[in-house]
Parts: sequence; C-alpha cells; structure tokens
Amino acid sequence: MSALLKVKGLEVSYGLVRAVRGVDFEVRDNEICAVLGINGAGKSSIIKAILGLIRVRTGIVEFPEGTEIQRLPPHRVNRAGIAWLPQGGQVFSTLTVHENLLMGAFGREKTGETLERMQQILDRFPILKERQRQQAGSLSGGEQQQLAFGRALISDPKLLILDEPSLGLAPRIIQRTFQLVSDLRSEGLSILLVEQNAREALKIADYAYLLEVGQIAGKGTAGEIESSEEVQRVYLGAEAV
Amino acid sequence: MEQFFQQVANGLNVGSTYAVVALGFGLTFSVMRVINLAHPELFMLGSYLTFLLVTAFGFSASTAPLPAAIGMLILVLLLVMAGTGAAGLVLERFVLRPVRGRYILIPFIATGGIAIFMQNGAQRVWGADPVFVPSIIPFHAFDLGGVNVTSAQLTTFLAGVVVMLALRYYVRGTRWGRATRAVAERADVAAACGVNVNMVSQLTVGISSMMAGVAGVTIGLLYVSAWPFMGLLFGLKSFVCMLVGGNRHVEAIMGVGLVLGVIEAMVTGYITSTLRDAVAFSMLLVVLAFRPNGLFGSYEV
Repeated sequence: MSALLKVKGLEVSYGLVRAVRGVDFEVRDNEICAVLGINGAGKSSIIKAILGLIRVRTGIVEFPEGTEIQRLPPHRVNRAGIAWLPQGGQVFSTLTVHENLLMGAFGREKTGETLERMQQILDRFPILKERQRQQAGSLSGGEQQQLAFGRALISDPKLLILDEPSLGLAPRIIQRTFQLVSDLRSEGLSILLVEQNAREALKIADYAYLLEVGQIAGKGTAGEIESSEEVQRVYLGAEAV
Repeated sequence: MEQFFQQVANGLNVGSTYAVVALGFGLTFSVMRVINLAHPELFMLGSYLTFLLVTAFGFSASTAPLPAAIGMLILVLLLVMAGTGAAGLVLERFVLRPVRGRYILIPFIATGGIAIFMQNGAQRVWGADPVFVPSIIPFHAFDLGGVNVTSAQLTTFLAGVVVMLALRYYVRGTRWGRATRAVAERADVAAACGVNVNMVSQLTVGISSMMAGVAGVTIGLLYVSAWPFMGLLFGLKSFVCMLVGGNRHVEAIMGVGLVLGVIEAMVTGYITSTLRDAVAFSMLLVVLAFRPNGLFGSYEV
C-alpha cells in the first residue's frame, strides 16, 4: 500500500544545533502512526517541517507519496489536505468560538460543504454550540482542545497531525481525547500522532516510530514497539517496577 | 463652559489624527511584530502629495462651488491614499518583511533609517521651510451652540471618524480582518489554517499606509502647510497612543488617541501650551508603571 505521507532523509538545524538528523518515516492511509519521543527528541521540529513552518534544506516530504510538498508555504500545505492540532490546542483566544471554527476553513467559509461540516462539528462537540459567541480564551483547557479539534477538522483534511494532545490535560480528558482520535481513524482519517505519552498512544496506534535525539531509533507495529525492551525501559517505566 | 466644549472640539480634531496614525503603528506591529518607525513619514508624504496635487490642479477654494470642492477633496484623498499605500507596500516587501522575526533592534534600525532618509529627502526636495498647501476646503466657521468649528477642522474630524469606522468594520466584520486578528495572535497557527500570512501583512501595511495618507491630507489642509519633520510630531504622540491603549483592540487605540487630543487641548486652553507635549509622555509613564501591556492589553511578543 502506498503511503499518504512519506518523509525521507529529513534534517532540521537551528544554527549549530541539529534537531532532526536524517529521519525517514511514513503514514499510510487510514492508520494512526505514532512518533514517540521525549522532550527535545525533535518531535515539534518534524511537525513544523512537514507543515512548511520551517524551511526544509535537506530531505523530502511527500504528500501523498510521489508529490513533494517540502517547498510549499504553510497555507498551501493546508490546502493540500493536512490539518494540525498544535500543542496545547492554541486556539485564537481573542476570537470567538465560531470565528475560530471559521478560521479552520479559511477561504472556504461560505461553501455548502463547510457549512455542513460546521454543523457536524457542533453536533460532535455540543459545548462549542453553546459557547459559539464566547471568546475562545474563556473556555476551559478541555473545551479549548475540542475547539482546536473542530478547527482542524472543519477543512475536511486527509491527514491530521496531532502534537502531544495529552499534554497538560486531566487523565479523564486524555482518555476522551484518545477515544476521539481512535473514532476519527474509524471514520477514515489518517493520523500522525506525535506523543510523549507512549502508554496511551500505543493503545490506539497501528504503527509506531521511536525518535531519539533527532533520529529514528526503532519502528514497528504498536504491539511490537510496546513489548520492546527500549520502550518498556524509557517510556513505560518497567525498570521502576 | 463654552470654553470647555471649545477645547473638547479642538482636541477631538487633533486626537482623531493621532488615532488614525496610531492605528497604523498598532496594526503593523500586531501582525508583523515590527515597529515601523517610518510609518509617520508616510503621513508626511501624504501632506506633500496633497501639496503637489492641489498645486498642480490649480484649484481655488474661494471661487469654486461647494460640490466641486467636495469632489476635489475626494479626488485628492483617493490619489494620496493610492500614493502612500503604494509606498507602504514597497516598504513592507523590502524593509519590514526581511526584518520580521529578527532581534528587536534590527527592525528599529532599518525602519528608523528609512524614516531619517525620508525626512531628509523631503528637506532636500522641498526645502526645510514649510510649503504652502492651498486649501481646497471653502472656509466656513460653524457655530455649534457657542463652539466654533471651521470647515477644515470638521473635515479632519469627519475623515478620521470615517477611517476609524471603516477600519473597525474591516477588522471585526470581514474574512481578512478575522485572519488579521488570528495572525496577530499566532501567525504559525493561522498559516497552518490556510491563511497566506504574507498577504495579510501586505494588506495590513497597505491599509495602515492609506490611513496615514488620509491623515496627511487633512492635516496638510488644516495647517495649510507641509514640512519635512511633521511626521515626528504626530508620530511620537501616536506611538504613545498605541503603547497606552495596547495593540490588542483597535477600539482602545482609537479611544486613547481621541482622549489624548482632548487632554492636550485642555492643558493648552486652561494651563499653558508649553506643557502640552508633556501630557502624552506623562500619560505613558503612569500607564506603563501600572499596566505594562497598555490599558486594554497587548499581544504577546
């Protein structure tokens, strides 16, 4: 099966610091692909490179496989069908909930398809419907995350990139978030899940990569990765038991 | 009491100009995180363009009928807006955009250099003395319940109000205005939502520059003159308005501009005009001591 997103030999440097040192991975159609790594492993740099937010000097990003996108500006990457859930949601706090959702479909706000998806999103997240006219900054952390999901989904993306969706949320909300991600995959979406919380991520992922100091240190199906000694030791704390 | 209202009228008049220039500072900074020190020089350019146009047209307000004068004013406004808007776009592309995201002093030096270049360029071309801008607004003194307002003053104020209302509609009520607010808050997230951030900064600087042009026309006609360093005077006060109001809400900048104009007029009318320029900076010191992000909040840098 061909890949929806294929990253080949990606390198990202900030001055003399090489944050990403030649990374290869792919996300296949309709799968949840997890990239696991601790702080500073290069997770955010990889996301920014895919999205076009930092210039890629070395390496290739294909979306779908065969179409290079590493030279596109971020707004064109979005149009190609990639949506992003930034770390912590990062809703536009001074815009209303409704305006935030409209931003997710910038340039296509008035199309019938967008209006239909707006309705679907409000049905999926009823709290957003109630709060449509409120400033997004007044929502709770969990609500802001729902809004960020809504903003990402309204453009009907082919690939959703999640940057540490579990960060800073209560365990109950984390469970709900991962359930939502799993549901979205069932609905046909492909997902790149970049996480530090390996335990939760591996429960829903199909395939996983381990990222260590800017390099892929291991890969395999979620089951293989979960049982590997490395993951048991570094991420799941087996040593402490 | 009449004197009080007279000072309010005088103040609103100058204050609306502060507000219009300050909005340009604030918008550009919000979107690009660059203080454009050359912004007030576009206002100066607007006054000189008015001088060139009015002189070239050879229009005389004293003999022309009122509709012709109004038509002339609108024509001059549109042409000057096109001129300063175009100058702003060049500035955005070749000065502001390359320094965006750099260490804070770099945009200061770059835009400050352009400002000095423009001031001295104007002095080289048109001389250090003010040039005479023949008024195209027929003189008339309106008596509004004991308060005297000239037609040129009224034009300045009305133009300011129209510009502010139009800008408020753009920022709050349009698709690109919404994108502008989103970029001001998080440019990277907005870009990943499908917003062309370069397009937003061009629109923002273009609109800011056209607004500075409008202020240049009305002040040129009000003072019937243009001089090379006029941008400094209004620029400094406007810059203070942006800092005091904070750049998060366009309404805050508008309000502070009008209030500053009125307070200055009060100080001039009731105390002494020598203290007038101290008002803005006293206000700045007090506000920054207690609310460093301005009265109504600023975007994070």
